[in-house]
This record gives sequence, structure tokens and C-alpha cells, in this order.
Amino acid sequence: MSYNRTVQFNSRRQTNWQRNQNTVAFASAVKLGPISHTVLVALMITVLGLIYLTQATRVSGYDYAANAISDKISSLTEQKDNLEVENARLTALQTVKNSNVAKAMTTPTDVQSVSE
Amino acid sequence: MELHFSQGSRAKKIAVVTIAAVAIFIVRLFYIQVLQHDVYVAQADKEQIKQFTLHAKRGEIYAMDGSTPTKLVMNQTVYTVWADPTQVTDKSAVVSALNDIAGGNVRDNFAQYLDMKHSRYQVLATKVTLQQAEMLKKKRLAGIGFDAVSQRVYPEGQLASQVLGFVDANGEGRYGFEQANDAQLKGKDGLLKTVTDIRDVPLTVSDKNIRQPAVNGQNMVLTIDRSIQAETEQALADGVQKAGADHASAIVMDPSTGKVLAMANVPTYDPSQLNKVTDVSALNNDTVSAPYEAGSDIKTFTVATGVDKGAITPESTWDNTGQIQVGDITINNATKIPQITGNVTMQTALNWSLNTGMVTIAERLGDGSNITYSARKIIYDYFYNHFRLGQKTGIELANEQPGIVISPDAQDGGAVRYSNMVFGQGMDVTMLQVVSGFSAVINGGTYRKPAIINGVMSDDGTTFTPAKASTAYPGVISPATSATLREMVHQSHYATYNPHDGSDRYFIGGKTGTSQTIINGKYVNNQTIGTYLGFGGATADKPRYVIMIEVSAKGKEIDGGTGAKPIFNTISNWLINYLGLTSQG
Repeated sequence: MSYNRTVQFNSRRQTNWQRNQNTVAFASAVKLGPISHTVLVALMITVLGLIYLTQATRVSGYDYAANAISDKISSLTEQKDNLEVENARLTALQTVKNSNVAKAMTTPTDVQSVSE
Repeated sequence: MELHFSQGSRAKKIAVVTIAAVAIFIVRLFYIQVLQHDVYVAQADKEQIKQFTLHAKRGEIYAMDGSTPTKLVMNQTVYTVWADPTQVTDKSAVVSALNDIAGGNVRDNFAQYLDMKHSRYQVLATKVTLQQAEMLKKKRLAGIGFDAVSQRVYPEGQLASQVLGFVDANGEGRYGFEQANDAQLKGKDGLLKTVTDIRDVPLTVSDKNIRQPAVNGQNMVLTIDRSIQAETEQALADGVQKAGADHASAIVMDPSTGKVLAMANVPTYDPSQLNKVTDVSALNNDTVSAPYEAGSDIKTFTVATGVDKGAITPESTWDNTGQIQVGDITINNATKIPQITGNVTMQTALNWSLNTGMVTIAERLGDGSNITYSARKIIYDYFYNHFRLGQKTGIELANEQPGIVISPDAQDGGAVRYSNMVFGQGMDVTMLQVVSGFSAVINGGTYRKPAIINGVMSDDGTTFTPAKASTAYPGVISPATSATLREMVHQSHYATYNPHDGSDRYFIGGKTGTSQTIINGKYVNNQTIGTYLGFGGATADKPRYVIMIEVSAKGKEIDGGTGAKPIFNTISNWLINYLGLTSQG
């Protein structure tokens, strides 16, 4: 019966071995070269950048919504001001004086004052 | 990490090239981001950061409607429609849309401005309303833009326009209340400094954003009562027409508080149509800015001085010959009839407006037969220090003038000068000074600084906070003197007036004034100013209003009795009803 070792242990006795130190060290069988390392780091930076951009864009999206609401408020305030002006004009003395109701009024023929 | 490459391997070559490229990038980035940091930041800020002014809303102005503030001056956003002629692609569509939607607001021959291709900004229409602007925007006309502009609107039209003043194109208050209270009404503009996108939408991605909110101007409430003001303006306009005059002014004041209830001049103007004002003098509020010789109204002050100093009583008599000598001049009475000649009382002097009676009072304040220096000092003290004539009242209105009352210590402050001053000539005063001083004469002897500000309204226009009472100067004359003067002026009002209008059931008093005018340095008789100064109330002890009317015309004699008194009576009788005074008869 034969078997293959999937894990390799390297003896460290030959190199600067000292008391109470592990005599073997773990070493993965999967090797990553320098180019793979560089690509992985670049990918990680890219992912982080994308996350940042996503968040920044989301904030900007809120800005557009806020700006739209602000515009709406301005427009409604303008309409409110216009209505207030119209209301003031309709209740102005000259308007009331020239109204149909005022024109239809008649002067009383007899007025008596009560002394107190 | 130690790299092991085979000699001349492809990996080694790639590594070298990569390292070289990265090194170049690093050097370049170092140059851009470190050495040129400030330059590029400034460049980016210039493109990305926009600065906006957050305009403060100008405070609105209210008048009183009885006890409730009502709006007299408001703000409204209107639009200026402009064109960039280089971008206009369909001229006929623009012309048609503007004519249909904003026909009344377009410039004359506005179509010609669309052909001015050398310009990128041509105004086509002004004062376009929000509704009109929105209708125009829906047309999606190429090359057409809109600028929002805040303008003052006057729901009551030209009511109290000379009191209010107006706001010019730069947003500065001009004339009247707007100018005098500009800082308080204007508020303080805010600032928004922010990173924006290409459409100028503010973004919050920068730590350089600055927002300083605008502080709106104060909403202010005048003491003017809009109904009294309207009635006064109408009475003035009618009175001017009846008298054939071309100018008139009026003030109505509450004598117990110094509050100005109405202040009007004819001719006047509409502040919303300034372009139609042809005579700039119509912008002035003559009641505060045009000192003049008030004439016989001043006799009430002279009599008050004499009574208060104990020199005369209403029953004091003197021998009236119709004229009196002071130094080298002879002073005459305007009226010379037998019934007021000989031994007559001071009440008669006031009733018939006898100049000789006033000179006699001045003499009795001295040694009895001369207007001595000490007499002149007393008169000056009362006129200037007590009644505050010849000095600014400090009312919150622009262009108030002080006028002048000559001191006895001045070179021309001699007996002749003072013999004229006691019947209202030889000194210049404003109507407001006269009304304020007269209020002190009849209110028990307390001078109240005249007030035009009644309080402030909250920013949302719901809460009214009254102003504190204006400064009071008690003891101008004694309460007893004041009571005597009320009765004397009351009798004076009815001495030549039997109205049968029911006003005799109330306590009304008044004094006429007819002053000569000075033309080319000389008094002329063919141009006089008619005035009437009076008060009214339900009872003798509580006057509710003081009214002063002034009427004049170029080259015309207008006397106080026929020119100004009818206007006084109209306003006074109306006020009796408006104030709900209870009759005593």
C-alpha cells in the first residue's frame, strides 16, 4: 500500500534550531508567483474603489432628491406668497369700497343717536 | 519577499517593465499630487465649487386696521424674461408665445431684440408672474431664460405712499419708512458655497461646503391706521379740489401716545408705478421734510406759554387798537372790526387770531410793555425746549428736517423777531413738530416723541409684538394750563363756526392759521398757506385725536378758515364715528 502526502513538512533542524521551537514549518503546496500577487492586490484596490464610488454616488443621489424637494418648496412658497398678495388685494379698502356689495348699500334715511 | 527569476526569463522582463512603469507613475503622481497640489485644487474648486447668495427676504410693512395689523407692503417674486439671440431658433414662436402669455409685460417692439446676434442677453419682458413664467417654460423655447426678481407690491395701492417710500432697483430703500429703516427691513443675505454638478445642483460630497442661512428682514408694523389714512387722503383730495389748491398735507395723531394715525400729502404717487411720476417733489413727505412758517396755529403755543407762566388768563384784557408797535415796525391784525376793538380778552384774541394779542402776551412775559430779553428767553425755552419746535422729532422717517427757531442770543433774535414768532412767523417748523407740540398742550402737558413704529410681526406674520411706548417728557406745561388751553381752543373752534353737524355734542377744538409766504426774500399777500390745527374727543378731559391740515396753491390766497377747516371737520366728524366716541349732548 502506498500513499501520497498532501502536506509537506520541512525539517528545521538543519537551520538555527533551538530548544522549545517547532522543528517543522507548514508550507502550502499551492504556489503564488509575483504576478499573481500584483494582480490580486490590484483587484483588491479596484474592489475597494468600486465600493467607495458606490457610496459616493448614493450620497449624490440623495443630493438630487434634496435639491428637487428644495425646488418644490421654493415653488410652493412662491405660490403661497402670490395667494397672500391676492388675498391682501381682495381685502384692500379700495377693492371693498368698489365691490358690488358696497355699491348696493344705501344711506339710511333716519339715524338717531342714543346718549349715555 | 524575495523573488527568484531565471536569468533572462519573461517574468523578469515583465517585472522590470512594470516596475519602470509604476516608477514613472509614482514620480508623475508625486509631481501632480504633492508639488502641484495647490494649483490643481484651486483649478478643481474653480470648476466644481459654486457660490450662491441666499437672498434675505425684505421685511413686510403693516398698518393697523383698528387693533389688527394688516399688510401694506408685501413681496412678490416676478420674472424677467430674457433671450440669448444666438440661441433662438424659432423667432416667430417666441414672439407669438410672449404676446399671448405676457402681452402686458413685454418691452416695446421686443421682437427687434431677437435679431441682435452680437448680444447674448436681451430683456424681452419684465414683471412676469409665476403662472405666466410657467406657461412660457412649458413652450420649451430655445434661447429663452428667466430671472427671478423679488419686488414690492402694494395691495392698498397708493395709500400712505409718501410715508412708506419705495425700494429701488438695487434693493435700497428710498424715501420715507423704507429708507429710514432700510437696515432693519433688509435683513442679511446668506451664503451657500458648495460643490455642484454640471447642472449647478449642490452636492454634499465636499468638506468645503459652507452654508450661512439668510436672516430675513424684520416685518414692521406702522402706527398708521389704514382706515383713518384712507379717509384723510380722500378728504384732502376733495378739499384741495374745493379750495382750488394744488398742495395739501395732513397729520392725524393720538395725543396721548404720540402715535401717528395718518399722514398724507396731495399730490401723491403710486409706488408701484414710479415710472409715471413726473414731479419728484411728489415723493417727499412734506409733513416732516418741508419746514414752513406755520402762522397763527402757533398762537396756541404763545397762549399756553403765557398762561403757564401766569402772565395771562383767558379773561385778561388789553386795549386792542388793531395794531401795535415793536421797535421800528408796526404789527397789524388781519381782522379789524369794531366788536374786537378796544378792551378785549385773550380768549377773543385767540378766537379772532389777533396778532396784537400775541405781542401783548410776549410783552407781559417781559416788563409789560416790551419784549425784553428775559421774555424772549422764556418764549424760546417754551417753543424750543418744551414744545420742541425747530428741531427734529426723531420719527423713523427719512429726510426729516429740523426747521429753525432763532435763539434770543442770536444776532437776529431781537424783539422784532420774537414779535413775529409769537404769531407763527419768523421761524420755520414742520407740521409734525407743530402737531407733537400741540398734543402736549392739550393732553395734560406731556410731550410724546412722535412714533410711526407700532411694533413688529413675527417672520411667519402671525404674532404681533407691540413696540414700547415712545419717550415721554412730562411737565411741558402744567395740567391746569393744559385744561385751560383745551377750553380756549374749543371756544376758538366754535367762535366762527356753527356747523349744525352734531359735532358740538363732542369736545372739539381748533385754531386757524393763515401764513404769508416769502417769495424772493419778501412776504407776499397774494400767496398764503391755510392751516387748521385742532383736536377732538368725547369729553374735555380726554382728547382722542389731533388733526392738522395745511392747504396751499401757487399764486393763490388760501386761508385756514375756508381752505383747511372744512377738511378738518370732515376728518374729525368721521373720526367721531370711527372711534366710537360717545356724545355728551
